[in-house]
Amino acid sequence: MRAYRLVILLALGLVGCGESESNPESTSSIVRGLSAAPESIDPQLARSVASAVVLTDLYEGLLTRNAEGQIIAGAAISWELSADERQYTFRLREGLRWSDGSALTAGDFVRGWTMLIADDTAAFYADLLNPVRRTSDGRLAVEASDDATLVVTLTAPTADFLERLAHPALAPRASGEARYNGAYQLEQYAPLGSITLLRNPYFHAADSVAIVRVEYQPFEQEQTEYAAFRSGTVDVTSRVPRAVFRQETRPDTLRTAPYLGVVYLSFNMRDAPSAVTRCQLSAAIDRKALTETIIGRGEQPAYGLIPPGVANGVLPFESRMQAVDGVDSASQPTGELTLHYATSDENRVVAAALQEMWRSAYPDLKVTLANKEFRVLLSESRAGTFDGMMRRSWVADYNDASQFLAILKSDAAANSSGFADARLDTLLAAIDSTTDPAQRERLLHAAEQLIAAQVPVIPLYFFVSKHLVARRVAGWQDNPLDVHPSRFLRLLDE
Amino acid sequence: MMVAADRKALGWQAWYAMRHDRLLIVSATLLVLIVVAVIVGPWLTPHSYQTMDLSAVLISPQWADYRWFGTDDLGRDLFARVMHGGRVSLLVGIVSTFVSLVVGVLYGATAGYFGGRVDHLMMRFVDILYALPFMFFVILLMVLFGRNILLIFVAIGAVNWLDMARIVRGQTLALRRREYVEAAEMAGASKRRIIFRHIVPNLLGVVVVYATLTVPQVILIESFLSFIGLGVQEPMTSWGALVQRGTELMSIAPWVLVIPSLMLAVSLLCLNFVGDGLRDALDPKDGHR
Amino acid sequence: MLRYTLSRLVSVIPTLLLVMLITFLLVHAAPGGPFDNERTLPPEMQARLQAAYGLDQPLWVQFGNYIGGLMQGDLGPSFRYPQSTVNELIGDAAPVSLLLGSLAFIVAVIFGSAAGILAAIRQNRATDHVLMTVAMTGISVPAFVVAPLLVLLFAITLRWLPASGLSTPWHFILPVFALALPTAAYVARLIRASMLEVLKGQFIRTARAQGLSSRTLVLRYALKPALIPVVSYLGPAVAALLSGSVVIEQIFNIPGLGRLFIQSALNRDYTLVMGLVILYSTLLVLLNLIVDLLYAVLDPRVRYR
Repeated sequence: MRAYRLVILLALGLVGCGESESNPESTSSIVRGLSAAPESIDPQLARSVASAVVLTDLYEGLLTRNAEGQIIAGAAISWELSADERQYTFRLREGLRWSDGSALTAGDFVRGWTMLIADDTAAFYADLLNPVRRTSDGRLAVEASDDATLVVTLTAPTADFLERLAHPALAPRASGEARYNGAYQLEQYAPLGSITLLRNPYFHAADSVAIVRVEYQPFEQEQTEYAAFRSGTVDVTSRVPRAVFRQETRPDTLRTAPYLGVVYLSFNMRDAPSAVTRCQLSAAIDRKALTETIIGRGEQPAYGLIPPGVANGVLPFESRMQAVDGVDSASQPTGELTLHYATSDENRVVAAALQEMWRSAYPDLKVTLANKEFRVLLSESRAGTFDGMMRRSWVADYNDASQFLAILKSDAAANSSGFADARLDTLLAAIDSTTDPAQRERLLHAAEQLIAAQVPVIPLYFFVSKHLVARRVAGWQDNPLDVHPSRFLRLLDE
Repeated sequence: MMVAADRKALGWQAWYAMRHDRLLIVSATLLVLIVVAVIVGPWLTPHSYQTMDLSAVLISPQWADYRWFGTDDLGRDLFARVMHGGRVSLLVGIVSTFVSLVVGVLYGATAGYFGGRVDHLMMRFVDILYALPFMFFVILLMVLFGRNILLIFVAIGAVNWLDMARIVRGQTLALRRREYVEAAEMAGASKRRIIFRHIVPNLLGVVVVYATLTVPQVILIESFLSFIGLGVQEPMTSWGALVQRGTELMSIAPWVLVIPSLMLAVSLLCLNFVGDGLRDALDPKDGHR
Repeated sequence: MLRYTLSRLVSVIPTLLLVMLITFLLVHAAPGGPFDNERTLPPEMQARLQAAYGLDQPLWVQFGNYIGGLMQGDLGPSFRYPQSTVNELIGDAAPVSLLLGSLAFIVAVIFGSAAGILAAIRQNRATDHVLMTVAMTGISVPAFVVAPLLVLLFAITLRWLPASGLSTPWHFILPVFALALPTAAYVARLIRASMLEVLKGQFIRTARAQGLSSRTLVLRYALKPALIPVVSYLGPAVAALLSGSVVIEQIFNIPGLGRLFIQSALNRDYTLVMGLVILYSTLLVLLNLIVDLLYAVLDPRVRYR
């Protein structure tokens, strides 16, 4: 017996020795939770939001985002747009360096971007560079005219091009071994475990970076992350369980803000109920009850696809839902309908609530719920083989209103409804190439009206970003893109 | 000396059996009560398991308005849901066990009866399936088939038959050498008839005991599937699904966790005790295992 | 015995091949592919990805390629983690699960057998009843009820122990306990039952008649034969403990094999699924072999040729 006890102590001791130097109490280091293990920390290979969070600290594009999520100068200090709005000339900062001290040049950007669109990279975000013109031999029309100048030629004027540039996938790439040009450099990386970053001394604004060490810990379960926050081992969480919002008094560490994402039901327009029925289904949903009582995390009811707080396209927010002609005189919907949704706590609750709302409004209509595993749902969405409705959501990659309407473009990959309207396609193409804000807003408004009149989707609500931020962390700014670079955070003296 | 020891051993065994019977009786009674409650329960309350009342979210258990177990975070009556969930859990347990039983008994009896090369091949196949990660297999099947409750039954049952097949095969090997089987063989009965008429009925004892112990296992598996989000469809529920929801709400509404957990744990305890007791009663020589 | 071991080892190969084939067909039959993501990709991108990972080839070619790679110890690239190979991912997760699993195993065997022996010696007394009720409860209450309660009590309310992760020895206490509990409970019941049976046996009576003390009797003569049924249970139990408990790893946020398992299936990470199945099956087959060999050590009546 005694021998066994010794074995345990020894085993525990061995593990302990390996990691005892790490000191989470240290004042200049924080621990941030992630919603999943980042599948890659290579900017061009990364695919998910969790990866993007880490990459934002490790890399800096030509443009980048501040604590409020707004576009600011990054590696580029200035830029000019040609008169025909088709050519950008970026001037890089002087003395830019990689994390090993070697010089960073405009050519490193060309390298990163070229890799992004290469066939064998098979990058998820290759389409970010779609507006850039290709040369006759298929290369990008991006040129490093000298070490500090980058000239980018576009096929057509592109209103949201600068917004795209802040995306981590458009980071520069060092030749050979991975190096970093962001505020932090990689200290330790385990694909499934935690990721440790240290302040990058060669970062151009290194003096302003307060936190020396950032540890990212992935949490598969939000309950676990919440427990870690409550026990004091995590400073910033990536999400917040619903139960927290039900407490008598919400904790002062809770930070919620409107977020650029919309949840909607997509009909399968290849075989959908009539427009009148679709409109009736939409009208029977009590969005206020849905957002306030059922989810209750500060989500905003959605009557259109464009969320409030989006940078351009400031549209009248309330009552954008249009009644389709003939709804008033129509009889109540009957028959059967299926609502497909992916397995998750929030989706489950929302689906159950919708079912109940329709059941009490239209007793003759039978709505069945079909809870599908996420990837099964996605493959059905892609193939367009589902029947009835599907719960989908769309989250912006950058701050621009047109993305939210583009999900209904006839050839859009995200268009699960199969909705195809030539007028909408024309409008959307016009929106992309219109750079005058007022004109653009008019077009966006027209496109939204067109969608509202046909009800291919039923908007439900807009997401909110939800985090728990420890009291000792300062500098946290809520913003609609939910980006919070660690370089703008600091710790209060305790 | 010898005589005294034997008498002591006998009295000791009788007392032992009695004590165990008492446990068996108590658990069996409790189990019957739970089953009856689960069947009758939904008719006792005016609330439906799926109606939401958004003005009555997370009410704690009380007599007023028949909210005996309170409500969940969607204002659905927890009593109705626990009873309904119990039906689903027990049904999953029983049907899946039945599937594994039918497959396992037929497979095991056939292998055991034929023996030799057939037995070797059939058991080799079982060995191979044993090397397949079981949980993973169920998860894969759930993903493939979607969340159909019938398929949960089949998926769990189809994987669980392996143990049953092994046990039955062992018993059959022993039964084969019994006189009445040999007599039937000499009388010219067909193999099929011998398996169904002489072997299978004599396996009943073992099968019943094993089945009683499989039911709680299956219920646990179903609750595990619910935990990772592959359980039954809303608005249907099961004890496992209720417990899983409960763990998320435990800090603000403990009853949502405690009540279904208690129901689940007590039922599983009773089932295990009943299985144990039956084994002792049906196979006194084997002792208490 | 050596010959027996060798022939068993050879027979492992067809088993593993079949296991691989079944798994391969199952994962490829599952709807949804590895590149179905939150961000829906245009069809030409899907096609490009499929080609990059060789998914555009016929299934049997893919299987052949996979087996070819396997022969050289290459489990292929991960579909979900573009920067990592399956070898790297398993190499990362396996030590975590192995350490946690072996600690849980040691704890389960020590506490389980101690409780089982004690209950058998004190049969039908209060100690026996209490221990066996605890054991039965341990088997009957799911881990995902026990574990969150442990976290709530020890990590959040009392703040004695950390809630998640594995960075210091203190981090191991809760997950090891939660993981060991059902196994310990099972071992306790098995040991008690077989111990009682052994104690009734002829040779124990003889020994007792010769005046040996109870303590010597139990530890020297009864324990060894009583371990046989336990050993056969422990084969699969060890495999399950070592390959990680999904629930425990999720609740305590431990980057081990169990969590990887679920994720790889949900992500349709075909190669990772295959790699984990191969690892688990090999572990299971080998442990079963060890169990059979242990029989021979424990029970002099069993001989293998």
